Amino acid sequence: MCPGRQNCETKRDQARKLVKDLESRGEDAFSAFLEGLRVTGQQNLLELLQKTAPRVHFHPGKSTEAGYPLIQPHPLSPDEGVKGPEVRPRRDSIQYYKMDARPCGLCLIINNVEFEPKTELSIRKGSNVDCDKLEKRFKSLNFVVEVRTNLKQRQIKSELSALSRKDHSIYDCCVVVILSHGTEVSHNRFPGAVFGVDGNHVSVQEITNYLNGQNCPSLQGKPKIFFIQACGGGEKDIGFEVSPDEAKPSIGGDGDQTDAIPISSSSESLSTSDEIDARATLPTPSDILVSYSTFPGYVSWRATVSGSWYVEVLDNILKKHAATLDLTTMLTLVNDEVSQNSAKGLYKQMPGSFNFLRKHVYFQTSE
Amino acid sequence: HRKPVNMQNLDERLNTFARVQHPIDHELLAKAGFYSKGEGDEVICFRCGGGLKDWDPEDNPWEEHAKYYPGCSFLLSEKGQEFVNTIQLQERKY
Ligand SMILES: [Zn+2]
Repeated sequence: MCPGRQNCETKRDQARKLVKDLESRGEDAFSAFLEGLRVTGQQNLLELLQKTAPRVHFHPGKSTEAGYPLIQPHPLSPDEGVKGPEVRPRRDSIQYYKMDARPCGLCLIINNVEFEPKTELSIRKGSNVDCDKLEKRFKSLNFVVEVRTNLKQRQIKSELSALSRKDHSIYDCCVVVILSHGTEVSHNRFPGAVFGVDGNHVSVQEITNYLNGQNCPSLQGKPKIFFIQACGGGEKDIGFEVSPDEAKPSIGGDGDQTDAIPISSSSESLSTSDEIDARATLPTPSDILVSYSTFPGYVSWRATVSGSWYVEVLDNILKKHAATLDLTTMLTLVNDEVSQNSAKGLYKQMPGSFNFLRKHVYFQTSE
Repeated sequence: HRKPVNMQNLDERLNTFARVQHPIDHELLAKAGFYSKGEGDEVICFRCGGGLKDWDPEDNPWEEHAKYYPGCSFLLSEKGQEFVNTIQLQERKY
């Protein structure tokens, strides 16, 4: 695509500068840029940019050098300089997902507590506490919440399938919460799996697939957020550390999945052809974030009366900060707190986040 | 008759870059689990099979590995969960 490396770098440098300019000139910079393209007759580029969501790389802390003065700087009014949720646009923008639909979206909570005896999976005492907390929390964040209890593998799949067949056009977001026992399944994007009460598992990869852009068009371009509290199965539940590689020998040396075959284009990959950083050769999932109570393969600690650490901390952080902080910042706080909590006791727990969102998510709060 | 190449081996991965012009240091790429397919700047992770191309000279192989293939068990065993979390939750690409 570039004739020589020299040209390529120059082009990349230019692209970088342009992107930095667009980011550092305030909220109106992008629309001003589009207007500039229209005025100068760059119709093709204009249509391209309006059609596909532009992927902008944001480098915090790096100073923005003044590059090509494509956009006339306008004087900042005193409060325009303040970046924060107060001034975030309510419409979809380069940096923020639109999140002002009322209600904001659907939230499905699957709460598996009692498992069939043959599975030898223990009753997940305290899970109802987790479930109640999150039901209330997501209602307060203006989601329409539905709770399903004690689902078998097949029922988990059919609930997710039903959710994917709903019309989400009037909503801005979708949340899925799964509280169950979990197990290890290798995957290079979304590893791990959760158990149905019949002891058969559903992989996290499959769970996320139900809502991806191809299978659920009305959620295309909208954030799809998964919270998974998955305790290790059986005895591991008591809480000792098992490393992913010890827990299960990987199949045939190259243990991880190879089922993701490179596909040249799909509705999932919204990346533009002139990506700035290295990019994946496999189609990248878009607009999906999975927050795990613990990395798959590690035990998730659950107090039998008060619920799980992860849900307790998640609920508290959402309560305290949803009005002011974006989701990934809140999840960083959750990770820090859970891992600090667990460091104090005997057992270590580190939540994991696998983040393929393209923009910030700010939840709706009543304040 | 040559014995089959085992990409789990660091030196074997490094060998694949012998005749390749790559904007990133070959040793850094090989250490991060990648080997060259022999064409362009595309590399593949021996463990998770994840491929990466269109490298920028400033890119860090481990960081790109963690950004696009956070579930890779080689990545997790070499760099740990905290590193992967940091990359996954840091401000980027918005
Ligand atoms: Zn890998």
